Amino acid sequence: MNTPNMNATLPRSHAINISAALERAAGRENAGVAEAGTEKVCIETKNLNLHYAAAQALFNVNVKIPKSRVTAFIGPSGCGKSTLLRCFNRMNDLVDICRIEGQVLLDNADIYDRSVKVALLRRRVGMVFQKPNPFPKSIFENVAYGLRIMGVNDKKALAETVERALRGAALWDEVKDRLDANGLGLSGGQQQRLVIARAIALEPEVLLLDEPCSALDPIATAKIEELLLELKNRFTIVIVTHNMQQAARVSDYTLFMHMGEAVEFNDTETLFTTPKMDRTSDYITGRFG
Amino acid sequence: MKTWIKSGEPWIWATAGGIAIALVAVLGVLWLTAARGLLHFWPAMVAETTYVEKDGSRIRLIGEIKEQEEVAVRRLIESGFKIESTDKFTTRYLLKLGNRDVHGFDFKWYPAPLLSEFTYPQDLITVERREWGNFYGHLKAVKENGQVVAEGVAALPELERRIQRASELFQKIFHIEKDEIGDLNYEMERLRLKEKKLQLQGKLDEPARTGMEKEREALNGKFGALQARLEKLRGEIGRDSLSAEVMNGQIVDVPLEKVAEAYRPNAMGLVDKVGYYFRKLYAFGTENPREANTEGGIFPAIFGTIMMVVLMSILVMPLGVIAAVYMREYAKQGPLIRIIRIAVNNLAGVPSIVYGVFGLGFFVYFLGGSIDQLFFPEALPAPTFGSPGILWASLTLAILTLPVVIVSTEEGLARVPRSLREGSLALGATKAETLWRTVLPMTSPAIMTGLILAVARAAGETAPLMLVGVVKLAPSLPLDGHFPYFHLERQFMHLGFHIYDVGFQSPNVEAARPLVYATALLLVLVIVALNLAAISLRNRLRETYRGLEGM
Ligand SMILES: Nc1ncnc2c1ncn2[C@@H]1O[C@H](COP(=O)(O)OP(=O)(O)OP(=O)(O)O)[C@@H](O)[C@H]1O
Ligand SMILES: [Mg+2]
Repeated sequence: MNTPNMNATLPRSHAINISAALERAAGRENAGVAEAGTEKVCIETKNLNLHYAAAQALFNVNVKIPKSRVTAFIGPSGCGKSTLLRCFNRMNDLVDICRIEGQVLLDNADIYDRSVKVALLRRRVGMVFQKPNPFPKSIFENVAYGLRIMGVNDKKALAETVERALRGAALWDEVKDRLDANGLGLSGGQQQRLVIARAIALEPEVLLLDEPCSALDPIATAKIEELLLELKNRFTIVIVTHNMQQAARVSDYTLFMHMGEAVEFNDTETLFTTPKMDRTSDYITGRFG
Repeated sequence: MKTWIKSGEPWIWATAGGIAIALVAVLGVLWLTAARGLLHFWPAMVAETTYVEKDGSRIRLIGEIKEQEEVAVRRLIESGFKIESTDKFTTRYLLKLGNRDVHGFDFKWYPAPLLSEFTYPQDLITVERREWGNFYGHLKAVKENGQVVAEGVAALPELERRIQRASELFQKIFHIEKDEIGDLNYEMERLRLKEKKLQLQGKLDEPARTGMEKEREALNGKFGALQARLEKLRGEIGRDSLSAEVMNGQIVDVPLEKVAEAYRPNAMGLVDKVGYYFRKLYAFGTENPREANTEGGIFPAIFGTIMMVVLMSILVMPLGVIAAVYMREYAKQGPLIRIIRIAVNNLAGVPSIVYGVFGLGFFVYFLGGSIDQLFFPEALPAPTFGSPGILWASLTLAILTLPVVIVSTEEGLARVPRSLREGSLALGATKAETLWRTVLPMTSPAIMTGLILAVARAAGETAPLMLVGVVKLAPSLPLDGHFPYFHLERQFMHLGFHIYDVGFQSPNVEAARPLVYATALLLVLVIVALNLAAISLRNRLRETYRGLEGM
């Protein structure tokens, strides 16, 4: 294992820790799989175009997110990473002016189909936001929130699931004595892990994370990254990040986006060491963005 | 000078001055009402003096000194007083002479030069009567069936004992008249309505008729028994009387049946006075009014005010919150909703009497009338809900305060951060679940703020209530022991209207004036108490949802 907290403090652009990426790639159970095509596909977009009113934010995006892997989205600010991510759990439905063409398939079923129940979809595809957003409720109730919505009210079942989720989010030891305390009383890093616990309590198939560490210090960031490496055995994880070391450290695959287009998708090692597209290499070597 | 202005100091002074003026105004109101209202319950000394009449003869005066003021001597002379004085100004006193039944008047102004020195003889008694107001005089004797049983020094203790007895009898009579006969009347009325109902439905057959006849007879029997008991008690209570010498030397008999309390104010020590004071204060808050509201307590008005405000809150909360949720969360934010929002805001500025007229026309006549036709046809033509009552008053005030609740709820909803809504939705909650579980709880402090404003406005509102349910004297409270306990169709008393009634409609304005202040003070206290209750609730909610501010 490398030392992520040290890397995270390095300046962003030039310090791609390639050796770390290689190390990680070597440690992977199916290292050497270069083509995403040979992996099982979890989410697939087909000719996805997205408009915010008159402005187009996504142009003909075709990506395949592999199952049980960590996929990172990188790209300059405003290129549409969040927008694409929010297509996967239909969060964009909340934006009135948003219009979507094309398909998003989850396990080969179109999630924008009329018959799909959005609430059920969001239980299968969990999401963690950039800023931690715990509810102003107790830590316990925060984690139990999704379960209660599902109609679980049995005390024992709730307590068990909450504990499992908090352990899964590596927060249990820190909060086990004050489950009744307000979730807003936790530190930023703890809050973000609480929010992750809240999401994984529902046992989703996919976990979407939109810059989960941008508001955190290096130590908290390291904890979250460690957590992601553990969680990837159980979930398909998609993470948006501005931090390329982070992408290199935690992800198996990386998608580089630019101006609303999916420019290049490959396994992380290849994308960082031998990018095919000029725009990709320009970005990761820090020439723009 | 210029630099002084630039320094911002005048601005600070101006703001501080504004605060000071506001503070002085608030404290002034409280001080005035408290001073005038609360002093009323202090046992006043009874003074004795002599007065030179216009024909030169001297008469004796006995009474409480209520007020004194400086007047120009010339004005007094012009109005016919024979005063020889070189001073420009002199004092005149307002005496409460009491004994309205004997003298025909109660209050009178007397100029000081025509009065002798005031004295305060120890044996003067103040008699608080249930009719005709206070009585002052020198106690001479206590009588039983017209025969003297105690005189001189022995009179007062004997009097106190016999007043005690009379009061107990009075309580018994009151209980029979009010509660037991009231219950019977209630049963009678129920029976009559039942019969009428059966008749209207065409189901009034022979067995039903005889059954009811029997019930009625049983009730009449009970009624007769009660009447007999009443007769007996009335005979007993009329037994004793006191006789006293009033200021013109006449000896007057006062039946103890009419006496609430008698004491010698000039002989009372401080401890006695304090005891008396708090007893009166307590009675003021807990007793029914007497003598066209100029005497006794104001309990029904306090009760009515609080019950109306509570009912209003129960009605306005769901209405306002639902409207706000629709406007902020569900409606498409377009020109239409903007117009509605402006209209709602402006509703808050409509004069309250307009709401009263609306309440009378819509709630009382239309809604109430329809309810009567549908559910209480047996009572017609006497209205049940078709006449002003506490329900309609509360509803009218709920409509009146609706805009405040809507506006603050909307503001509260707008303050719930988008990130929290998204967090909830991302966990698979529907929009409605998100609203219930996250958004509305977080809005609750804002809703409470709206309610606080609504309560403050509603509790003090008087004008519209006169149209939709408030009366100067309600025979019974809207909450009592008869099924269904809450009688929302009943008329009720209200502190605000009570002030108006006592202060301006009373037959004896001078006597009632301190009560106006005392009632006003109580109204303020009731509003403050209601507000404090709401505020503490809000603070508790804020505590729960603290951290919202930081987001
Ligand atoms: N709700 C919205 N309404 C209108 N335009 C939007 C909205 N959300 C995003 N956009 C636009 O869509 C484009 C993509 O935005 P998006 O948030 O996906 O970028 P991003 O890659 O996540 O950027 P960042 O790294 O800064 O988070 C931007 O041009 C943005 O202005
Ligand atoms: Mg983004």
